[in-house]
Amino acid sequence: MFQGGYMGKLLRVNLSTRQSFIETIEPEEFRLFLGARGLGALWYWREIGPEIKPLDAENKLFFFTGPMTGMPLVSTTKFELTTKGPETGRYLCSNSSGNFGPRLREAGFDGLIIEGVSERWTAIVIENDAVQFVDDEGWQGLSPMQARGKLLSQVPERKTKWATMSIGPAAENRVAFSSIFVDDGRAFGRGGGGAVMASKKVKAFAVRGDQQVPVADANKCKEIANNARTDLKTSRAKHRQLGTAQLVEIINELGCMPTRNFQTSWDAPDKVQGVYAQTLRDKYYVRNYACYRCSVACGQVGAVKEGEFAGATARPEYESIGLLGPSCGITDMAAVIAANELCDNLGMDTMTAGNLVAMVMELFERELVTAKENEGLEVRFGDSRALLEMLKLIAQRRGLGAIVADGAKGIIQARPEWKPFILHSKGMTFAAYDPRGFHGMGLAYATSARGACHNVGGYTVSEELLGTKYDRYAVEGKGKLVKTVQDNRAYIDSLGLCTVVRSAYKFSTSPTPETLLAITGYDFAPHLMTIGERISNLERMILVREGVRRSDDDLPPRMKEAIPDGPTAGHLISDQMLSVMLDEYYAVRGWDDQGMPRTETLEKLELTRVLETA
Amino acid sequence: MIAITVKFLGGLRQEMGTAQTSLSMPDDATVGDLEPRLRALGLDLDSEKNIVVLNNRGLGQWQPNRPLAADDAVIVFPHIAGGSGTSRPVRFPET
Repeated sequence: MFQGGYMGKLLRVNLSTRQSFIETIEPEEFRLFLGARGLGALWYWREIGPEIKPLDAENKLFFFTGPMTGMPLVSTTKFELTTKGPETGRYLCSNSSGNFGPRLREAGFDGLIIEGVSERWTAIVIENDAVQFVDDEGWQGLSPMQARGKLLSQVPERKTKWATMSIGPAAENRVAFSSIFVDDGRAFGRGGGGAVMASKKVKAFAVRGDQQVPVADANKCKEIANNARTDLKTSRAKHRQLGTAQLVEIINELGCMPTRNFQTSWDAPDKVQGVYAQTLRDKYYVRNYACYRCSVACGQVGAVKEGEFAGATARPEYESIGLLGPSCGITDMAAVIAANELCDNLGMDTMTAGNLVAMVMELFERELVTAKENEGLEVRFGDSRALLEMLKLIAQRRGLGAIVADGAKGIIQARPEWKPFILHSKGMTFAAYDPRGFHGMGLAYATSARGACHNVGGYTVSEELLGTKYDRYAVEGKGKLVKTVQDNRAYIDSLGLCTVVRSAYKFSTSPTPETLLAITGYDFAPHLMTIGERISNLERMILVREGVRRSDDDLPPRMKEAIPDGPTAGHLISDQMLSVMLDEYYAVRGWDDQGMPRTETLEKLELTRVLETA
Repeated sequence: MIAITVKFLGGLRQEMGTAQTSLSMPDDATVGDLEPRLRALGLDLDSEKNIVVLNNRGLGQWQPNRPLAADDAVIVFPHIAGGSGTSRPVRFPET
């Protein structure tokens, strides 16, 4: 069926027995689920039952690539992590850039499964089909970059370089939103994959190989790559110029910026401009950062040269700026770079960390907590130094950090009275868009397969401004919009391709066939949106098996309060408004009124037989 | 004449060489008259490269015959999405 695009094998490493196994991935599994996110969901369905807890030995880490991962095209960098995540206690999918996915394919594998628990702290080195363990209690306490450096100093030099994954101290302390870092700065950021890796006593991975992924039509691939580079030079020029940080100004002007823990959604532009992309460019810019084979290079590396945070270096994206910045009442880019760098060194997700420090700040403002409970540290909006100190307390589980480190669900369990101040859905905290200003984002957060998220849940902002059948505050029409965005994203996440460049390959809701035909020799194009829908439904079935029902597709209490000021003043999402959106969403998805996929929907998507295999 | 303020956000500010400009429109100008005036400024409004917002709603979401008012505010910005989110809007198949 396929003349290229797949190695057809996965590597399974059992840490308890220190054995590894090579297993076959069937062509039918590629046909139905494409790769990366789709295959991760399939293996999760088969192997992770609802009774397994995130940090149990029985939980596993699934890493899957897609048919485009590592291919000789532009930005073929992505691969997917699937596991039971500590932040939500449920299914977690997460994608990352970096070289690890491409190198894993060169080692001969489309996927890597890590199971069991190591007796000692270790690192795993994979070279082609050889697996070695580097045991060392000295792995503990290192930052992700230190662990990467240490592992790279111990592997032999090869012509094709090694790629790495590593975790930091926050993961070792089981912080529910600790990340897995890939190479020198990309990450499986959200959901707590780092804590799962730490629970298995694995500090780092290195991988390389000498194989080539077969390509159906190499000449056509070369032509497509050249065309993509030409297209991206103009179509993504502004990504290269200012990165995603330019959204700070845009989202603030649109009245959607999380401000002081979403108490409002806007602040005066002359204040917020301290964290604009232009400020990053003018005062802190060092260089652009490019992922594997990417000609866009949208990452903006910034360094603080003077003042309180001199020496700090980071590559702040919009979400990190929004949530560590204005949501914490901070409009100083130097402080945001310092906080971002600290999260990277501790190995924590900047988004959840920013959200939860903002929550602590609001608790202090409302005098619901005292410095006495927090090792003498007061944490108030706008206090950059306190932000940094609070991040350390979380990673070390000290003071209020001992509670905050367990994430939204853990906090609500320990301190239910703090619930009104936590912005989350299903345990995952919000991305940096206030849904009261774009109601489609509210439905996206509420129904996302991994909890509140603008990627898996869907990014609806552009369409809510460009659509002519509804506007941003309408509830009608949002069900269909969110379903379409989610299914589109599900197949993109299964390709192994960065979404920023997808238009250069025409991977829209009506994709054209040439790219996947050139890679695999199979015409996936007419089926891609169906594949996306199939993945969305399989993920929903996983969530249903884990107890999710309509009442879990919810938004936090703050969304039911009107925004007090700014361009979106007066807007909210009431229970009734969310209910209307959910009804429409379930109907277009072919789910019942409790959000359960109907039998005929599963049959239509060829999922019935798949679901019997668990 | 009515003066309509147009703000350029993000990377557009550099491209346009200014943070904002003012359009002088006739007293009887409508929303439908805005697009050609914006194009005349050199803005690329094709292939949805840039998004135009009038009073916090997409330009295309207003009735073209709605009269313009002196306090109307226009912002224009490039298509960008946060994190690794989509950077171009989805297009729906007609049903």
